[in-house]
Amino acid sequence: MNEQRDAGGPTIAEEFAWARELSLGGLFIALGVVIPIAFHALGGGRLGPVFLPMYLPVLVCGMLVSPGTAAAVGVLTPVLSSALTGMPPVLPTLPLMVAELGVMGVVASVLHRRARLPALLATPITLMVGRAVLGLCVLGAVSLLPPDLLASLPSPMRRPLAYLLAATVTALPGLALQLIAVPAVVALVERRPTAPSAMGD
Amino acid sequence: MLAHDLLDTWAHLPSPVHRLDARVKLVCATALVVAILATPVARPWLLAAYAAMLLAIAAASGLPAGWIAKRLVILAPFLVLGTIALPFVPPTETADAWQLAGIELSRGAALVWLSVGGRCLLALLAATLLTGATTSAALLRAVGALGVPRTLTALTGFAITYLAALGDEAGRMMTARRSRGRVRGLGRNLRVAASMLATLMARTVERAERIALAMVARGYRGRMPALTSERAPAAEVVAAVAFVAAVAAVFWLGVRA
Repeated sequence: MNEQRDAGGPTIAEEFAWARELSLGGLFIALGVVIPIAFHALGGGRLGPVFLPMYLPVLVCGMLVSPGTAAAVGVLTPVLSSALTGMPPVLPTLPLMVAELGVMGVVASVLHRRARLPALLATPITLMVGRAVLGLCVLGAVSLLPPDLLASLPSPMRRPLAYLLAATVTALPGLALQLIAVPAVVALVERRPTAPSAMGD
Repeated sequence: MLAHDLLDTWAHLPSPVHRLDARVKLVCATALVVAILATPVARPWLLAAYAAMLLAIAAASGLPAGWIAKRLVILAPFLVLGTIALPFVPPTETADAWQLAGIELSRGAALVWLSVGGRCLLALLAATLLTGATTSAALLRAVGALGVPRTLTALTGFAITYLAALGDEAGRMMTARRSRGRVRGLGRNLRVAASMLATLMARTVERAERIALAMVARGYRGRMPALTSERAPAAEVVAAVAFVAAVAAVFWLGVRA
């Protein structure tokens, strides 16, 4: 598997690793669209902000791929979901989720893959960073938007701290779900040998 | 759960618009959208000219009017809200007042609203025609050819390709859960849901590895080897240049008038 194809070129193992990263990223983006649809089918639109179903595949994928791919997965998942299903709505939720999930993907990848932090520790840190990014984005939007446009925002969004607090309290079950599910799924996946080693190469 | 041809339902019609190279269509649509969005508020007739262009393209493409209308409906809440809010904007002076069915409207606000709503609607129509008349794979190749990073196009391509497959898998798991009988209690239900999610993700990772092996076996070296010519036909390039020039000329004439 480590045989070089031509002088200076990538080995087959490197090509497989890159192909695996792309396919993992793409499939987890698809999961980020499918899982929220299932949640909405079970409990209507109310379950989305409570259980944060889109965060789960982004966080798990972040711990399995490189930071660049994880950032792309975090950015593309809400965009594709919004384009295909209308969830999350383009304004005001989509830009906030793009920023939050993009940063969370990078942080999860850096903490788990680069700093070798166990998923059990990396997950709460990533979730806290995500909430901080969400707060900063709302703060940025509130301070940058012209007063006319600001008046059109829902009233909690005009006070960033109140919005962040309300969003976090609403999402407590979802944050608890991520804390339990992400390390469990990452451990489950990492215990399995990857395909080439499973083939005995 | 999700249709397998969700994005490409009408992308295989035998119309002249469908036959055009995806890159040519993408460049033309981008030029048109830029011109639409740059249209000054005081030049609403320019929007009418662009609307005529888009309607002609829609007619030539043969895309069903109902399908196009369904795509445009997502803009309806925004348009309805704006229209409802319009009577609440008071006219700034007497000359600005505009009587419509007994309701006094601000002429300036109505013009701004018509312009903003019209621009959004036409830009969405342009995007709808582009995505309706082009397969998602061709569109992603075109986006990649025009300089968007390959990682982004590859990830989006994988997501679109496997969306329905993963949706089906999730649907099968939910059917199996229902077939095993009713689970009582919130705790048990949550445990079942969590184990389903974990299984779905583990299966997704296995699927991703199988796909990666297939890609490498088929000659993937940073990109898949292309089997067809990468060059757009010269006649189509000329047509694209002519279309972009026409859009620019309409814009220039409209702004100068």
